[in-house]
Amino acid sequence: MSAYSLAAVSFVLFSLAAAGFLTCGSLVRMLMFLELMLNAANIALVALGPETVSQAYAVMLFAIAAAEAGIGLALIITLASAFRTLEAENIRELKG
Amino acid sequence: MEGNYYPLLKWILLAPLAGFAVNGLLGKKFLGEKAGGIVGALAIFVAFIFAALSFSDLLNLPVENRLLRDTLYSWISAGTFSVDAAFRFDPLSAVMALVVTGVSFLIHVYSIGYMHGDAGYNRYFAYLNLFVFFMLALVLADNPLVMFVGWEGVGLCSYLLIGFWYEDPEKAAAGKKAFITNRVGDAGFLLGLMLLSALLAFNGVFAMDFESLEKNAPLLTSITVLGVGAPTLICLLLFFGATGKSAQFPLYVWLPDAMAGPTPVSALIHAATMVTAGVYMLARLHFLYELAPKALEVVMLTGCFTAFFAAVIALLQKDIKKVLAYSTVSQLGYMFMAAGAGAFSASVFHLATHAFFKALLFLGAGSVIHGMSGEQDMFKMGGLKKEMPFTFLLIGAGWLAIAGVPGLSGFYSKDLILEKVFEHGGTFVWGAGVLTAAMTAFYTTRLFVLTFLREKRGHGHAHESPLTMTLPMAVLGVLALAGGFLLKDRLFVFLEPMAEHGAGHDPLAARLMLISVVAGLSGIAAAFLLTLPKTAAALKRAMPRIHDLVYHKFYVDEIYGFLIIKPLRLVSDKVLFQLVDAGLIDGVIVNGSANASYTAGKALAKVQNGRLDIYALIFAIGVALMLYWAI
Repeated sequence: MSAYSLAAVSFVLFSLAAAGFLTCGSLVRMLMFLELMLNAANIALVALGPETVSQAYAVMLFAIAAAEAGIGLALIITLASAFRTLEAENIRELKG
Repeated sequence: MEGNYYPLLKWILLAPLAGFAVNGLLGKKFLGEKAGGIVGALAIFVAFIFAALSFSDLLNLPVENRLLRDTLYSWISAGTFSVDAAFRFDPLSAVMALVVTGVSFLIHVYSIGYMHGDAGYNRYFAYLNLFVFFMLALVLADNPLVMFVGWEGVGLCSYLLIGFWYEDPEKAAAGKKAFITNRVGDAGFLLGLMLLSALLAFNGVFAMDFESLEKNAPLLTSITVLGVGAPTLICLLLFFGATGKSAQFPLYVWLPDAMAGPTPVSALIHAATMVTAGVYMLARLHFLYELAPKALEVVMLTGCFTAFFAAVIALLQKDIKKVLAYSTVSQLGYMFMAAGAGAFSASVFHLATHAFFKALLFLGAGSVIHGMSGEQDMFKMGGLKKEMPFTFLLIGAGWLAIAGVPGLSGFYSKDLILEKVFEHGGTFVWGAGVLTAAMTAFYTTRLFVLTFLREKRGHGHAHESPLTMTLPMAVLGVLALAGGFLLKDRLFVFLEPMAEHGAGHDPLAARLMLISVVAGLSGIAAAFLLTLPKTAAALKRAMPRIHDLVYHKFYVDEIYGFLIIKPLRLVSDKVLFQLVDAGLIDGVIVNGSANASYTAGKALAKVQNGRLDIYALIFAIGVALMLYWAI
């Protein structure tokens, strides 16, 4: 597979994940789409960057994604126990 | 010039300032009434002593070099233009400083008795000391800018003291009227000063002290501004300032109202000192006025008209202080008449004698008012001769002095002025002056007769004033009687040592003197006759129209109200207040900007609805737009 087709895969994946992030209402799903977006970025990095450096970055990004998922899940659990719902439109604490 | 440096001079000024600070800051809490009054009077006495010391040192100097100077610091320094806070003590300022500190001291002593028991006792003495400080700054100033500081300062103190009993809205309004009227004149003064310094700077002269002004004033003669010679225009503008401060037509209207203040204030500020500032200014800048004969003519005619006009109004006033107020306006007119005739020394002479007898009359009136427990209507007095013998005698002295009885101070100065006016102004102005002298004699006699002689018309018992009040009056009484005689030749030799004096009295002068004396005496006689209730009533019936007109002061206040104040109020209210202030500034700028940001905030708040998915959407749109513009 050439670098360009890999970049295309990454782009398609990112677009789908972003569309999913914007359209779904549940916080858990939003977190999952977020992870997908990160993975799309990872693919782009490996595809377009210089060989060794980009692979090292990709490994670091796995670690960051894992940490982010952990934090996100912890937040979601807290929110779930506080609001008894995980639908984004029902949680409006940020209203200005 | 450096040789004339004289460090004592600043203490003349600093003593009253210190008195002001002590009485103003500590007075009510720490000093109380007795100590406050003593501190106030003492401060002025110290100033008087220093003035007298400077005076004796001045006399020891050779005649052609009589000048003492003291420079405190460099006040304004901008490029080539610089002005020092500098003071000078020459014969003219010496006379003024002595008159101001001397009369002020007497009036301070008088005030100790007069203001006894007043709630604002210490405030009163603080203001009075501050006034003396500014007045001395005015007369001792070495350049017109320092003079202007004093000029404004005495206006401020005048305002504070006229409205001293500010709880009474009428008195507060009188203070405001004096201040605003003076502002009108001050604008002219300031314009004159600016024009003077600008035109001199244009000719490469940046020094503003009086000595270099005198030297460089001839540079101005070749310049014309708006088709008028520069000296004439400057002199007229400065004179307009003088009409405000010295209560000349058309700006005299504030002085009669200024009688709302305590009577010693009327005596000090509105008779003896502040109102003479204009005359002093003319005498100080005489070199400028001598370059502008047209301006001098205006000064003389204004003075003549004011003297006559105010004397007519004074004829029928009921209030004892109002009579004296209009009399002051009229006498100031005399001084300007003399200055306009080029006889600046004569005007300063009259200034000094007037300070004595008018202060005496005012203090006497204050004593009467004090004794009658606040009554000011002369028709409710009468027969006070027995109850207030000292005041009776002292006012009698002041009365004879102002009426121009030969040998007393008013006679010498007034006669000299009339003689000079006859030489320079012609028969018409002189005739008006003589008529004014007759009327002066008339209204002061009327005051005297109505207050002290005839039967008693008032109720209640009058009492003689305490010694603190009668003693200063006695000193002034002596000065009013003998001052003219003592000063008449000495003052002129002192003021103008270079000019020749005592040139043979021509027979015409003697004849003129005779006429004015006869006029004065007939005024006195007429007053005795016409104040009889029967003749007064008959006269009033015979000429009701004229009586009404004069009694209402020619309706000048009403005319000003209709022609100036009402349109001004209308414009201020409709245009300046409602349109500019309320409409433009408050409406558009202040409230408008507040409303705009409020509305914008309200619209933007809708975006922040708290829904995470919407935020994410907006964020995504933002990113998309950024990408679009970036690529």
